[in-house]
Amino acid sequence: MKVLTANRLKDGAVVYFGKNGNWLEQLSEAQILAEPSQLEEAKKRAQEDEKSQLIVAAYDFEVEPGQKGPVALSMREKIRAAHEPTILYDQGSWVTTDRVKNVSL
Amino acid sequence: MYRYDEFDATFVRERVAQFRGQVDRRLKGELSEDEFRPLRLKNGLYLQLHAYMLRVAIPYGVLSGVQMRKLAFLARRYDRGYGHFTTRQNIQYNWPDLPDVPDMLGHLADVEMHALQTSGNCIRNVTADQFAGVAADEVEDPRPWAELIRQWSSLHPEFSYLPRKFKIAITGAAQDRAAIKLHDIGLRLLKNDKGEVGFEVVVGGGQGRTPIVGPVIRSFLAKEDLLSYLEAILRVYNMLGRRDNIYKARIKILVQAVGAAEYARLVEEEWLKVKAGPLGAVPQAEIDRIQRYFAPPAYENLPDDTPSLEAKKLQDAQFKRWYQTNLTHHRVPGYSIATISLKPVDGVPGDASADQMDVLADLAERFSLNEIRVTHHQNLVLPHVRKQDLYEVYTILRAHNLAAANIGLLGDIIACPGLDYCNLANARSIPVAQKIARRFDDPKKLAEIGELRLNISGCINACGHHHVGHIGILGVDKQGQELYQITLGGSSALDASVGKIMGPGFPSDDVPDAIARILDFYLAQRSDAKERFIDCYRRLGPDPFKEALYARA
Repeated sequence: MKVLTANRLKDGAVVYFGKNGNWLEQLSEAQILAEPSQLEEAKKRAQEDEKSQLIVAAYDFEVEPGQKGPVALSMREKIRAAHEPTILYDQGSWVTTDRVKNVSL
Repeated sequence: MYRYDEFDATFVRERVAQFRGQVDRRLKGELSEDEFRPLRLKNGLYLQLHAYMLRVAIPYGVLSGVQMRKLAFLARRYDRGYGHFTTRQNIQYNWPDLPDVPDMLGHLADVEMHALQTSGNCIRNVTADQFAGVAADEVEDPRPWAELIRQWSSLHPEFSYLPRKFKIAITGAAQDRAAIKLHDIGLRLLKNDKGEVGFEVVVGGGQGRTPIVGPVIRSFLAKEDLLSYLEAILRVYNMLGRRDNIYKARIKILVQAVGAAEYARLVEEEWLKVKAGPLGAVPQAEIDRIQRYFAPPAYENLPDDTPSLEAKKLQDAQFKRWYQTNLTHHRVPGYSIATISLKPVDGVPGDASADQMDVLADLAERFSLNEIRVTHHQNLVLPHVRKQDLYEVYTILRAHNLAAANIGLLGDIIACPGLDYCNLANARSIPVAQKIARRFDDPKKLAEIGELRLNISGCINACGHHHVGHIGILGVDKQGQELYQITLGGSSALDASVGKIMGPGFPSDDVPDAIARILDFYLAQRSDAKERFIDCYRRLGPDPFKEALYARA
């Protein structure tokens, strides 16, 4: 099963196609696109939203269902879902975050 | 250093205004992303994993205090308080918002900087020896020539749509600190038998998917012929380079396909036409004009012996260690070249905070005749420090976590941003760098191992230059798991070589032990304490190292 993702045009932030057809920051709130027809519909919406300067670079990726919503399978999508690198610059030093491990929501 | 004249200043301002209009039209929908993408790339603006990324050009790595302070300002005001110095002597900001980028470029223009041609299929930042103008082994300062090439290549109408990106590096010293043999064009200033200074020209080197040590296509080129000859090289590439496959589009592929001798012949043929045209020989007046910007600064007349320095080395063991690892002999008595490591053990290779950049700007102004440089090993250099000031410089660096004593040693890891930041990456590189740095966080051990270049790339694009690491690490994705392949025997010096893959990759947590096995073997097998790792590897060959690497207790 899949989820559609993109980057927000204004700040490049990672966003996900939600149940209401809007673009949300939390992967847990993304709409799971289990059927090919759902994916096609979402992609059409993404094309329109790209034309309306909301998002860019939409694509789909594999997820599995979790307790609180879809869970990314690949390391790349786990890192994107965390919205941060796994080594974070925080108040003067670089700290390792566990956000990637905890991304299974 | 070079100062913008009226033409340069107007040119950059116009470009900022132009990009501001382009961003405005993009946000309003008057430009599609397909139309906008090449425009933003030409202004150094990428879309990465989490956000946009702005790559600012630092021509041949040279900055003034004011410029460094502006880079700090940009990090603080428009980003998240830090920036990343790259393996091409540039700086990257990881979190700019698109509407702010024209303002960022405007601020850069205020200090004679820009982000032009740091992306896209054009001629990129010309990189140079970080010790240019001050190294004891230098034949001639390469920076005026780097500046000449920069001016020639900026918005060159014929070369703005090349088959692929194009990278030029230049050195003027006996020791190549600019990795010229791994660039599309590499230039080395040298003296011929008549004592004349000219260029050795290397074409078709590169890393990435197809690492190649570039061949010399012309052993001596007169200085005044530099631009016309470069023009000929680019014209042949532009005409014959492949455009059907981005993985086969670099000049190295073309040179390999036709052969170096044939490529040289094609260039000579084209060169005759170029020389007969308006480009011709660079007028001596123009060479002189640019060289005046790089005239040696007003050095004081100082003795080379500095008793106060010797006393400090005895009193402060950490300073002594830093002195031994981070300093390079300056050609002027009483001065030293200080390399500042951006590789503290728990840091991120090449990253500096805005606060650190402000401190570095102050140091440049107070102690280095207002100059600071970026190296392609992701470190910084204060090129003109009086020996009598070294201890004060060191204490300031130490207070701001900038005094890691590891230049050229195992702790001086070069790593691309990797999957933590980069859209192209397959694996993370920063955590692996940190694990290795922590494992070997022992000054005595680092000293014992000696000179060691360790480079990490998060994908085959090799932005971490892993192919030319004495030890190289390439992150790959194997069925969703990050795995790290180890290469040995690479070098970016004049005796350049591409590293050899040893075998199957290792999970991230196993990499430090793998490195330890390689180094234990080296320490046991080296002919004496002076035999460097790379020399030991070349003497023994890969097989015994491979056996040691994959041996299990």
